[in-house]
Amino acid sequence: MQLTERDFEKLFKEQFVSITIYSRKIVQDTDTAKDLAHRCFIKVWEKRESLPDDSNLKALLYRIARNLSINYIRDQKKFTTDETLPLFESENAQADNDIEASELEAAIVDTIKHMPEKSREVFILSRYQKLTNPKISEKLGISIKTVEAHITSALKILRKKIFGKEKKT
Amino acid sequence: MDNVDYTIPEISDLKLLDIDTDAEWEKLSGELGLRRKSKILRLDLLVKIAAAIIIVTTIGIFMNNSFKAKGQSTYTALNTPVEAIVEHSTQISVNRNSSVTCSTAEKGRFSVSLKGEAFFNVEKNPERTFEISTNNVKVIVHGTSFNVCENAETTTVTVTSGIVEVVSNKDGKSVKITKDEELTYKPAQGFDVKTVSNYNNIAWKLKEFVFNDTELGDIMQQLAKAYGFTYSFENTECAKNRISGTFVNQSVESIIDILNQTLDETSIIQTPDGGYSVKKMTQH
Repeated sequence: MQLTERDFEKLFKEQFVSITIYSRKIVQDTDTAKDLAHRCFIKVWEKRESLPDDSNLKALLYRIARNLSINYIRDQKKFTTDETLPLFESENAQADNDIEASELEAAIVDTIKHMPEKSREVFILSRYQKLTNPKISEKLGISIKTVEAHITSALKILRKKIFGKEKKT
Repeated sequence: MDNVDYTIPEISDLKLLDIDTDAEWEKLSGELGLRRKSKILRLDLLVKIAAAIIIVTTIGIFMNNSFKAKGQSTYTALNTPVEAIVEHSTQISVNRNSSVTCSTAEKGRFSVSLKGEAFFNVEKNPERTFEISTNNVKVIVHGTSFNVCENAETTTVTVTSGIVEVVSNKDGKSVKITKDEELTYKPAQGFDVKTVSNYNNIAWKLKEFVFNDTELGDIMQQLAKAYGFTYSFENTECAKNRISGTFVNQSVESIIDILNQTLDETSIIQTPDGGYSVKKMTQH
């Protein structure tokens, strides 16, 4: 199929984080997942000419990501006896759920990345590092009221971006 | 405050927030050897924004250098000629309302596709062929300076130094022309080569006019072509005035000024739209 560099760049910028998250679900490590995501895009670019015109590149990317990630885990298993390595379902339903979940998570990541700096900082401390509001207030040298306002504002942005979209579909 | 935050899924790893997609793209496109990525693209965008601003400020200059595919770039001139340097020192001047697309896709071949008119000053390089394609002919270059002007019916090639070879797309016939020669090609009539005594025709590039007992009608036509303005004659008699003179690197205003001083009973007046009107001045 015809795939221009511009379209490829667009596809990359839209899907890279989501593919990384998807692969991470299998390999359980963000840096490895990032490398595998790169390899997915390289494969698509190298194969572009032999792909049928109506190829769904996004679906193809996830399929390659899944295969590469599973292969990676298999290869790792050869060198380790660690039985705690994650199990993965091979059913398509599970794969589809994972794709949707990855896309949603990528959208959240993207939204948080684009929040105003202070709101983002407060939101991450509160939600992901589980600090209490008084702790955040102390750490950042801002009032508890301001901390609350930042959290409210961050949630508002997320609600609008994520759930605003979700409801429509 | 409602409890929406309970339904927002967790992020599996905060490291995900640190992914810089632009930087990752740079890495990937570098690995795949794709065109020079976002930095250049941003620059490209800047050129476009700058051009847009210039248009808004009514100077009316527009330059668009867009990267279509690997090794391909297009230069388009709208209201004012555009200069492009390609390869190392090959200079392409694109005249108003013209566009050239350069492609280096094939090794050892630099191909240019031309719509409109352009002047080429081609660097000598025995390791590659430099070709210009128009609708009707292909011009093959060996380190020279020359002008190509094409439209649907006619292609005109004017050489100011060196030798170029022009090949007809229709029958593959070719002609070589040298300095001081001008070739005209019409599909119906084929090639016609004549010697030129001046380069007034390509003065849009050379900014040099030589008039030798030339009728004002022809002078205005050549000036209008070189400087991109419209003009009109009040009557055909005005156009018959004959003038001699040489103008090098002068602005259109100063040339018109000198012409006005030379002309009796005829005056070239600037019109509000930036064009010129030639009128008979009768003295009572």
